[in-house]
Amino acid sequence: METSVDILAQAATLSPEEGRKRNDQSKIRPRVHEKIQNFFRDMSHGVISPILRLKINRSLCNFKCEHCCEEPYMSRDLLAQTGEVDPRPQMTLEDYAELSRQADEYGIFRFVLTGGEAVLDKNLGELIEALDPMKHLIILDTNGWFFDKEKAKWFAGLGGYKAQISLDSFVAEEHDAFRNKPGSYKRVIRAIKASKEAGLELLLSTCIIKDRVFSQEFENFLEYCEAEDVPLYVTLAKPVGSARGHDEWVCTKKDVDQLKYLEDKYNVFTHMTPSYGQPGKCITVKGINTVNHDGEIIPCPYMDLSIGNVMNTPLSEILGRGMMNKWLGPYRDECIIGENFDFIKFHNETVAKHFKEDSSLLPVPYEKGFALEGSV
Amino acid sequence: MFNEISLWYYKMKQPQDTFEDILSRSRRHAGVDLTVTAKFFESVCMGLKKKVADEPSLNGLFNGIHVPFICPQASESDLGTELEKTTLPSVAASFETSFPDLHFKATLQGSSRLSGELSVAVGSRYERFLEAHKKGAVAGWYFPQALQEYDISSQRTQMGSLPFPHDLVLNGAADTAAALVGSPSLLVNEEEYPPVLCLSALKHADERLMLCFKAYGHHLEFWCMSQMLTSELTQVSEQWSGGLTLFAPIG
Repeated sequence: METSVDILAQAATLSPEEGRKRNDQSKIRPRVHEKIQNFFRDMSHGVISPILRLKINRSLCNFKCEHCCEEPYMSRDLLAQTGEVDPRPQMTLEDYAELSRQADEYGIFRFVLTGGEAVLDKNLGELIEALDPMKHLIILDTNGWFFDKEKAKWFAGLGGYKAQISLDSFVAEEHDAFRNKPGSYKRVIRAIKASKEAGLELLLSTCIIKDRVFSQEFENFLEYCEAEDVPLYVTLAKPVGSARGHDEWVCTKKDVDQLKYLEDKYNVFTHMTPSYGQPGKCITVKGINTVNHDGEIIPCPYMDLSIGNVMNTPLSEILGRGMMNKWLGPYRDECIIGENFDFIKFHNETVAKHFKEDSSLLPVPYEKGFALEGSV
Repeated sequence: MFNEISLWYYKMKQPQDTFEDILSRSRRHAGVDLTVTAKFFESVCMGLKKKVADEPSLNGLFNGIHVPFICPQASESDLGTELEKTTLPSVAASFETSFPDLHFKATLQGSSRLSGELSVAVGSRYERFLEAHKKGAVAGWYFPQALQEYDISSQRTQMGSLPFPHDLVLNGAADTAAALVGSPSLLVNEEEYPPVLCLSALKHADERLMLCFKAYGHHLEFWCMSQMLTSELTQVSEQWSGGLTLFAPIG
């Protein structure tokens, strides 16, 4: 009979890599380090410190990807649908500075800049300054097209922390086809090298559709990431945005379980992977929220329903309300927008009703969506 | 709280292990006495089943998932030490023997410990189980989904309404672990997400924390983790499940 099993207490639940990163921040960004320490101290008390993912620049993009969840938010789509761009007031640099202040007060320490393609924003430098890269880790999502040596160095020089580069297949032709952009694979490889040379933290982000996780291509991709020492972040294809109606892409539990098996062998993770002392679970509100260009807060990157607008409601109140929603707050292991067909049905029916009765503009406001689903 | 009718999203499959299988694993990984025979083990369990069948408020119990278990006499006086030194290693050994490609992990959140930190929750009736467990081996049935979707406090409160106060208790660590030792595939489900098995009869000295076994994919994990939804409210989750344990001491 066995007589022992490792019991991982707080310090030991951090991987060596997580520990290294935390130690680095104590020297480079003391306020970030302080917030991380406070979060670990207080997480047992139900305190959350989600990532705030900022969709900027009206999600302007130079690509038109097959699986894009942002397409309905983009000016090109709105022009095609309605004849005009988003008429709603858009967040200004002052609004982002105020968001940064509220987030800092709340204990939040991570901003992800995304779009569309965030690098296209002419005011990106000023935005990073307004957010304060010494108080928050600034992470940049990019398709890599413009993220060359010069751009990577520029981002790092402004205080940027990490680049997250999208690569949807390890087969160049497949990636280019999925992204509808010939040559994009090569630009990704260039961007990886540029990020490393600029000293940025780096990860690759890939979207999986049903069964891809069992493919030789995916295994080759994992081997490449291992060889390059780059973590691979996997998102599940969702039946939203450009992929609405593509139920055949939706991953099954078999796909998700295979990923969880591969996590023990490779440096691959999803948003539901146990990390920083937390069990693997759905991270709506508690782990990540998206801030739309008009200030609407969406509790998951792949949903189109809001929990409130930070331009007229304090961030803490919006997050508190989100945690009390019966879908979003309580513990659950599965990704609700990726796997839970009851939630997917509610979500997509709500969006369809909103389009039919109210507006072509997303997200669906809180009062017309999550507010109708009841609180804890 | 969630819906008028439960969506029953989180599911388990009835394990197909025989009494021989369960006893064999329990002997090998948990040190159950070799003199206990499978026939005797089965007779104890079937006797308990008959007892419940005659009770109107419980005669549906066996329609849900029901798992025979047998656990050896307790080896430590402290619940946390028993869990750390004996119970969790037994679960790990059984699980990893059956599934060598998968992992068992035990994680404590915050600066939590187990030794010296655990006690019996008021109302759980679990002290009855522990009395028997101190004196010798215990056998019975674990019903993992009996109190699914109840928050932990409500699981404990519910016990006051149930019959057989000396034999039917809210589940704790030794019994749930014994069920996992005997039936290591209990939380392995290829099609559906299984519930989180709360060990609600046990209370941590830090009342913000709870203990559970849960699946991660097909892996098995033990967590001592926060039960706080917000700083003011404890967690209520469709996935969290309290269980019932029906037991008898084995002389």
